[in-house]
Amino acid sequence: MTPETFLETFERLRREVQRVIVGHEALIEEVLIAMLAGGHVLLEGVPGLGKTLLVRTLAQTLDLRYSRIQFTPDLMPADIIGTNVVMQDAAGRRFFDFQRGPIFSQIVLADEINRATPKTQSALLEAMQEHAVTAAGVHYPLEEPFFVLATQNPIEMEGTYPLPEAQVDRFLFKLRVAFPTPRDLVTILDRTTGPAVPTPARVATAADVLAMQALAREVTVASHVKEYVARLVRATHPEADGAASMARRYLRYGASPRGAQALLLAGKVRALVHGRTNVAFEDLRALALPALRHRLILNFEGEAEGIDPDDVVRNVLEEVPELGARV
Amino acid sequence: MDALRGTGPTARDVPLPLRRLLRRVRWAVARRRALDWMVQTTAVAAGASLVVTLLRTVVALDLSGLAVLAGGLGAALLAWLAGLLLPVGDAVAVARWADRWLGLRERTSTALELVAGRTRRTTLAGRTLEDATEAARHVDVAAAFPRRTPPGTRRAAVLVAAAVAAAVVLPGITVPGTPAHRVAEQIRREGRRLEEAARRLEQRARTERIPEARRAAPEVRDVARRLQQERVTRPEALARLGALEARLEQARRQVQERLEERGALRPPPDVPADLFRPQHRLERQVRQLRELAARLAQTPEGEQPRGDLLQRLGELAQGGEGELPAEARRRVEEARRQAERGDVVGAGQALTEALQELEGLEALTADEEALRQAQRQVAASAERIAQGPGAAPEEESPQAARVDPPARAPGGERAAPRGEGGAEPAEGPHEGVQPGRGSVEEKLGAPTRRLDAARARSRVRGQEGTGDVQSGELVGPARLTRVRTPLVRVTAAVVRRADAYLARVRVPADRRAAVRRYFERLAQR
Repeated sequence: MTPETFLETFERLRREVQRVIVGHEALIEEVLIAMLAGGHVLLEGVPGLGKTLLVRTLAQTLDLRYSRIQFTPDLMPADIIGTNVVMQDAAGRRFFDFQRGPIFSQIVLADEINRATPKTQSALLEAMQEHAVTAAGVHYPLEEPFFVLATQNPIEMEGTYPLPEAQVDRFLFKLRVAFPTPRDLVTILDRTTGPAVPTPARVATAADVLAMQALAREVTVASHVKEYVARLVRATHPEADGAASMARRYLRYGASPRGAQALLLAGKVRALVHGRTNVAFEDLRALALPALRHRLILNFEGEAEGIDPDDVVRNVLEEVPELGARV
Repeated sequence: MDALRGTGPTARDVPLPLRRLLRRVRWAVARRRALDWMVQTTAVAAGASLVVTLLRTVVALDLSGLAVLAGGLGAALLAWLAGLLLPVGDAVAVARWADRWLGLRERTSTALELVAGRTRRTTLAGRTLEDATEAARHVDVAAAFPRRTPPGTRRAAVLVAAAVAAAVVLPGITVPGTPAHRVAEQIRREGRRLEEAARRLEQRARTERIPEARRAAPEVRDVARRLQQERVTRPEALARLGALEARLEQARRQVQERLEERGALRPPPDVPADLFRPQHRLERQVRQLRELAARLAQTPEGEQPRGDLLQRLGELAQGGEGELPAEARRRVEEARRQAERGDVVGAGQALTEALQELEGLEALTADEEALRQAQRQVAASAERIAQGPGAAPEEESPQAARVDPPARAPGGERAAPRGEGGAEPAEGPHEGVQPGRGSVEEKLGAPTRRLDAARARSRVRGQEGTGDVQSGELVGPARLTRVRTPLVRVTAAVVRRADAYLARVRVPADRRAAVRRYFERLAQR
């Protein structure tokens, strides 16, 4: 794959998704970037904004196996991973057979993930990090590409279990789905209430996605750009030298090294998407919010004052110079 | 490209458009930096100059605001040069500048790091280099670095204007009660002193017909008046006094050379050089010759003068080194020979010529002495100004303390009485004895100097040419004596009348101090 074919495929994907999803251009681009970076996405938004539709459309355009798991409080880990079932062959012999759960797909939609118990939520941990599951001591690798899109409702908190930090940290991006603009809303009404509902075409295969992921990792990054990523992440730590002022005041803990990895990897994909083979500062600035916002842990003061982690990330971007002190 | 050396690849590995771009960016950054540094340095220098100028109204600083500004502007020029010539950073740093200012999205710096081996080469490395090269071909460096006025230029210009205006207007202006004001007062005071000294010098030059001193007196007066009238700073005052002193020294040396040429400065063998006073010797010799000439004139024509006269002429003519100067000796010898032949008229003529020679030398020594005295006064003033207002006035030389009587005002009335050096009279005993005005000690202040009148020439009065006159020179320090006028307690009314009289009447300068001392002693009783 070349950068040109990468860009062409990406644009085709975007076009197809946008045939179904109205507006949300940035959201669509960020979801695609996360997928091509090999990461998972946590979508946050009130019901009815098209989160599920976005994931389903994406699966349709990619020719990947898709499954949807509706998280409920009584959902068990085995319901996600699968379980050993006693089977009987033609000779009448009984044996255990592993019945694969919905996680054995390539695009998994974990709908309303915060409704399940932490025990069930953590069933996703290994799958998301290792792209494999272990059941009854047997290791089952998942088919690549493997991509989890989880959704959660930020308003309806009763009967929900907030995701633990370790779980949240495994999402490459946390994306906020905004309410559509009036014009987009009119377009949505036009498309969804008419006689024909648009259906996306399949424009890429799993092999294409894997090739695109591989190419993204070849993008060149200059040393000072990497240093900028490190300084950005370090500035979210309240105790660190060079910490941003809001981080010092409102954060208990900053972004993990996984956040730096996520930012740089996503930056590489964005560079290709914008026709470059090197990462620029602007790629990092553009992706800092989705890559870092869910990795910041507010302290008591931050919680009490209702500080939005996005404000802290913006403050970090303002206070950390791109070129440091050397130039 | 220096950063690339030693890391394997060299500058040649960098594509030409990139090299060209880096060169142009490097120059643009250096140019902009040089201007920024120059403006910043200028602003700092102007601020410092302003501070110095303002400080000089309060503190006696020898540093001039203009000098600080000039130095600062020189430093600004150096800063500009340094900004142009000093390296702005290695090639990678310049590439980062290029990315930043030209909006190249880190293409240049990434490409350069790839060439330098600072970044791991991937399969896309070649594409990155091509991409950066292509971008470098199409950028407009001039548009990215437009000629601009450096930030802070207006502030620097305002500061420079303020510094120049302050340096022109403020020098010499001082805040009353501050050390700077005291220094300015002292300079004016010394100016008055010098003006008085110049007046005395001119008077003496006229009286004694000494040309060099007469020429120097207006110069001294001119400098003195400038010190009083103009707002002169201490360094300027010292410079002017230094130049005046040098001028006086030059004139004095010329006179001294002429005296040496004519042999008037050779001391007698029995007198140490430091105690030798050529003027006194010349005065004595003139007196001797006049006496001899008078006696010779009493000798009838055709008769041989008396033996002791011939013997005296012979002694003078035969005197060795350190006695009469050579020309005068030759004339005296000629007079003796003619007197021996009975040619009294010829002998008298020769003696007159010897006298003229001696009187010429006398005038030269007086000239030299007057110049030396003026020079000492100038040096003393300069020293007092240099030492500052704390310098004790008692340190001045007795000659400088001498005050002549008040000059007659243009209207014919006598000018108001003036104190030493032309200043208003210091508070003296006439105030201290006013009833109800405080104690005498408070009014008097520090005790005055001892009376140290200048040595006056003494002449023997009487009819010339009668009797034997013996005159000699007493070499040594003057004897200090005290005023012996009996002190009598007088009333305040008498003191007032005495003050009024002193203000009106012309009291000789060398007596005025004695009179004052008399009243001071009177007040202490």
